[in-house]
Amino acid sequence: MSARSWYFAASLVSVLAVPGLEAAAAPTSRIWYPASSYPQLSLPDGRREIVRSMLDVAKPMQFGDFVWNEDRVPRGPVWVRVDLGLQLLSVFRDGHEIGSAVILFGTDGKATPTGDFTVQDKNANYHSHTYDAPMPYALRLTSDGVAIHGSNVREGWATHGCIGVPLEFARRLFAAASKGDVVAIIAAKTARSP
Amino acid sequence: MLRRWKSTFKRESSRLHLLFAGRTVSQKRMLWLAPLLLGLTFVAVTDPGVPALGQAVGKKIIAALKDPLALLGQRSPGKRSGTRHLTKTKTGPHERVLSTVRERPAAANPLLEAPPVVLDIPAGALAPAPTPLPTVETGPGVFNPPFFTPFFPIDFPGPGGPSTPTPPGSTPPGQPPVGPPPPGQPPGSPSPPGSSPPTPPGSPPLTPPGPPIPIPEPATWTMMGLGFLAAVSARRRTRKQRAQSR
Repeated sequence: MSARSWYFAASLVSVLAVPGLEAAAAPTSRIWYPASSYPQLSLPDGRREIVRSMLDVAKPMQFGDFVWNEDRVPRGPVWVRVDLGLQLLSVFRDGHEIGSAVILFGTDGKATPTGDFTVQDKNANYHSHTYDAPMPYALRLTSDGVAIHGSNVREGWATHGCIGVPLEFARRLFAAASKGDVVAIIAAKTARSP
Repeated sequence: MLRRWKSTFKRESSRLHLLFAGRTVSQKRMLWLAPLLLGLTFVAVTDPGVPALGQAVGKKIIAALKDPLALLGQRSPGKRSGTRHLTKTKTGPHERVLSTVRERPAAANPLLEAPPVVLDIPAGALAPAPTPLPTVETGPGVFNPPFFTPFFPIDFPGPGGPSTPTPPGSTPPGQPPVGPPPPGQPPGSPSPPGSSPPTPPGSPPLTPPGPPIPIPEPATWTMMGLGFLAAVSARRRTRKQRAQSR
């Protein structure tokens, strides 16, 4: 294989590289909080979860972007924070944020419910009969079908009450979360610092 | 003063050279890092012993760090705008398979366009009504096919007269005499398929006029022939070129 062929192949690979995967492949730095004074995040039911570290994302994320970094994060309880006002979903494990993504959620008439939920069911290949649409890596939260699932996250789009996240992020979240994990969905106006 | 520093530096550097002499690169790196690690260990050990200092440092660090919600707000794409958002709803499965049924504009059918033929049938000329078949009993244990329809042999008379049974070879009244049947065909047998049925005078023909269309059509034959000729000529040309090149 000549040098020109190698150059062509390399340029082709760089052109075909998926931006989302590229963003995910680059490890995101982390902000560690001192053990003496961990900050806390409040849940809708009044509980508080301590935060040991946060992912350091310097600039605003775009629709379809996500970050994921679980290096040096120990095993522990997982909980998910969905902020409808900020249009962000954050995954915490043992108090450390391991992932964050821009989300889609429900719109008028089919709003996303707010409050504290638990993951009731997991289905990697769920297909909605109601909407005749695939919902990959679905984490069902309510009995009437509201779930977190992989979706085509684009600006100006909305769901019928579910929470849509990028597909690769949904795959990682599906692997990290398990049945019974807490999902706190915070309404746009009630998101407050403790 | 400067001389003293120079001598001290020379002496220390010579000691360092002795210290690093005969060691590998990794060992040299470890020697350089050892004082740094010792210093960090000292800080870690002494920090719990001085809680006031640790708390002060922690407060300074936490003040320098941002609140988690502030970090989330920093990365947020912003609040949802007030415009109406799209929801992609499928109304149902959409088949994209092409239909196998071809629809053509209705061709002119002479049978449909022709006025209806009024047959002048004298009263009593029709054949007597056939005796009805016995009714099919229904009930358990009796076989009753679901699409059973009784078959009645209906003898429809032509315009020439009533349909009466005629002996073979004879001519019914009111009809022109028919010649002898062709050899190999029993007399009185129905006409062979393909022959036109007898039509009443004045009525339109049952089959549309015109010669039968040959299949394949002449244009198809022409195209096939032209293609064959083109292929032969091309092959001959290549053979000629090969022969000339040799």
